Amino acid sequence: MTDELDVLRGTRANVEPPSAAARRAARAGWEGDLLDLTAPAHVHPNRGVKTFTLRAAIAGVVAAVLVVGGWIVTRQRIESVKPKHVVAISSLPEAAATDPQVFLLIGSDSRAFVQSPGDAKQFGEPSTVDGARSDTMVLVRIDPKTRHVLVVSIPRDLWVDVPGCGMQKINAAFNSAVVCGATHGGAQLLVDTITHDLGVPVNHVIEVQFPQFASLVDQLGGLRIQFPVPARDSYTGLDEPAGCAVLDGNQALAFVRSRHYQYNFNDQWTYEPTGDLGRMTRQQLALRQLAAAAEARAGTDPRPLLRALFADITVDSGFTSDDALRYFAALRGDHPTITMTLPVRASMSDNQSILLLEPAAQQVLDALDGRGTIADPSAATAGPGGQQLEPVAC
Amino acid sequence: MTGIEIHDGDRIASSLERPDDFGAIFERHFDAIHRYVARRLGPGLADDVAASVFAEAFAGRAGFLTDRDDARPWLYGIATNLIHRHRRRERAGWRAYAKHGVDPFGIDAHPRLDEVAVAGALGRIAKADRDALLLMVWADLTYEDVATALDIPVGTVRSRIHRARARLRVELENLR
Repeated sequence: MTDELDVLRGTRANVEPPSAAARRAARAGWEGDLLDLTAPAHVHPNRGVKTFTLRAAIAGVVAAVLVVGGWIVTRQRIESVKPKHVVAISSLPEAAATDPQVFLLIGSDSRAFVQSPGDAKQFGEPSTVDGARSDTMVLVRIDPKTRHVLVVSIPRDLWVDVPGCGMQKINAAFNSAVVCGATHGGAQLLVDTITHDLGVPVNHVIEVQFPQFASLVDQLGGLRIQFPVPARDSYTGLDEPAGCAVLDGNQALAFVRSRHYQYNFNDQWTYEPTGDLGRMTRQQLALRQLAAAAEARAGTDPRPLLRALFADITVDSGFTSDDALRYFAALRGDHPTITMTLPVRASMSDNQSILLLEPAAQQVLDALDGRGTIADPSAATAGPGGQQLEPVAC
Repeated sequence: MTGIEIHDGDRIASSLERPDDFGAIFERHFDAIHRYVARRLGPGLADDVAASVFAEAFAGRAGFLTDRDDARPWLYGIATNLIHRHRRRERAGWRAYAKHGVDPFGIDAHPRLDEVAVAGALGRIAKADRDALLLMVWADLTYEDVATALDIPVGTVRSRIHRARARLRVELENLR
């Protein structure tokens, strides 16, 4: 006689295993940084969710520097503004004033700013989070003659040869807890890695830390984003209904940091499956929107904004406001801009998921180095039934 | 298995410092969790729910008792909680299965009568009884593991499973 448990064992026993896409999406759903030392679960063992690394945000500060700089250059000779924080980096090639320049924008998650207990609760204590990591790396090439701008995001899990350390995820090169040869991780090692492994010479470095981004967004009157469907991220606190929203500084931060981005589609919350890659696309959107906002705001008197920006960001010691203004003039008004992410494919190494360059990436790297051009790859992402899910400008 | 086998507790402990170590937990258990969820809620919801199980597990990993070798009871416990959010859908699925003799999720292609009867029973028993029974039979957990997963005493597990099995037997006997 068949036992009821035998029947039950057979019920739906032939269920399909998860698809590769589902597995990838699930992995993207939890995967933390290789270097994420926060383990925020220590703080809230049972609530769990408050546990993420600070993802830094670059976009607006840089955009605003560029656009405001461009505005000033057209007015000429306002008193020169000195950057407050500089980092000495050797090996940055100098380019003539009329030559194209490559800027490396680093969004770092240094917790040195965590001072009040409230901050510590939200972001993790400085003592539990050593050093700084670069979670956002963007190369921007500006050609002052043609006014062409090329913006390329570098995935932080990109597998590269870090001088002195061998093959690593690229964000290891910025981690001050990492030592390669005699060099600590930091802007210098990251520049060396990009020059050495990707073959792109970097002329200037701009680093933005976490809190400045929010204040910048507020100074610019918010970040305008159109959400075609409701979106949320329980890790960063993002929670937006469908429609055009003007995000304040903290909401904007939750938006650009989101790596566990969910859409509400057909009444179901679904993880945006690409994790970090999707985040880079959203950061590029934020960059464009904030650049537009900065240009609009610069109309009256840009000097206070420029001063505030230089007080907040860290730049390489060769980066002067005069230089900056000269090159950034290209960014005022309409100019051909291509934003993209370095073409990569997922792979595994030693049980960690990594990203490797696709053959198509070489053309992008060449274009960053001034050898050849590329076509604009921008294309909207549509969900089932062709519905637009990705946020857009509004 | 080559090299030193590292058990789940060690992996989860080290993942507090090195989150990538959690990848081993994910690789080891994701398919089974996904399969379990798919059998209860259907393949349509399984992707999302199974992903949420690991997102929650990762976020709450400090709460895992690392002297335990096996993370499965813990993971299935999280899965059970998440499945509860869809309990009406699950119950409707079992009832439709019994009413029409067809698996609404399309997993069982041509169910036999006894399978239809068992599906009907699953749709009628209390959810707490269903949790315990399915964790034992589908997830292959021991009574002790089920107790850990559901955070209830072992004796309660025994009585719930006993009650659930009795309901299934009644349905099967009705066929004769």
